[in-house]
Amino acid sequence: MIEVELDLFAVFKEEHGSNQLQLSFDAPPEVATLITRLQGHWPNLSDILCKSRIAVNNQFCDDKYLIQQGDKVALIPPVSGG
Amino acid sequence: MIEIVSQPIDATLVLESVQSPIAGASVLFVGSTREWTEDKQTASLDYECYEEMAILKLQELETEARGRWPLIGCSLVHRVGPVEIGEASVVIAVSSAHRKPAFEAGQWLIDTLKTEVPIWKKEKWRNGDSEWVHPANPQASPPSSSED
Repeated sequence: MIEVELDLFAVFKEEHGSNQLQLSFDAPPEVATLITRLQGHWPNLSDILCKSRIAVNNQFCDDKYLIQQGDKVALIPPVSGG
Repeated sequence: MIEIVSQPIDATLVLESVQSPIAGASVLFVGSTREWTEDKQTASLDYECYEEMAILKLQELETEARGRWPLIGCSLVHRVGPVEIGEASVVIAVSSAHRKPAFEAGQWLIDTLKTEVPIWKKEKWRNGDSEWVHPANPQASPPSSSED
């Protein structure tokens, strides 16, 4: 069992009403598995999720990255600074 | 100078931070809130950031720019929170011995900041509506109400 505390920003934070989402997995999930879980959680935000990235310990990760207990995980929707 | 601030940015101070007797060229970029996007009127923008990662990414941009161009000074400052019409949301200054690297680095820095640094803006329209800007495809989406 692994608990992931996912940091949320912008539209996801607003949708969730909080800046963190707690998720449990039976085994350390790949980033792709996490995204699939989120697709089920927010079907209404599917388009933005498809374009979002996962950052682990402040670096963007690819779909194959295996999330470990204690990783700092954040959901990064398409950015719009500037 | 790499900063994320919640107060108005003094562009003169950012420019001064890169000026040097050995720099023959300094380029200053100021991105500010634009009132009109086609026929929609913006009231203000509200910026949010993932601060610890945003600072790290801004530092990485500086490092990469210094690797690509012979820069002397390189400063990036982004504002968060509400930004009124005409106020600066981002200020970038770079300097080099000659103008070409400074222009090229300045262009690259703002372009890359807009796709890689975890900062988001929320449009607050004059008609009372508001929406997060999450460009699915920067080439295809309509421009939001900041600099371009």
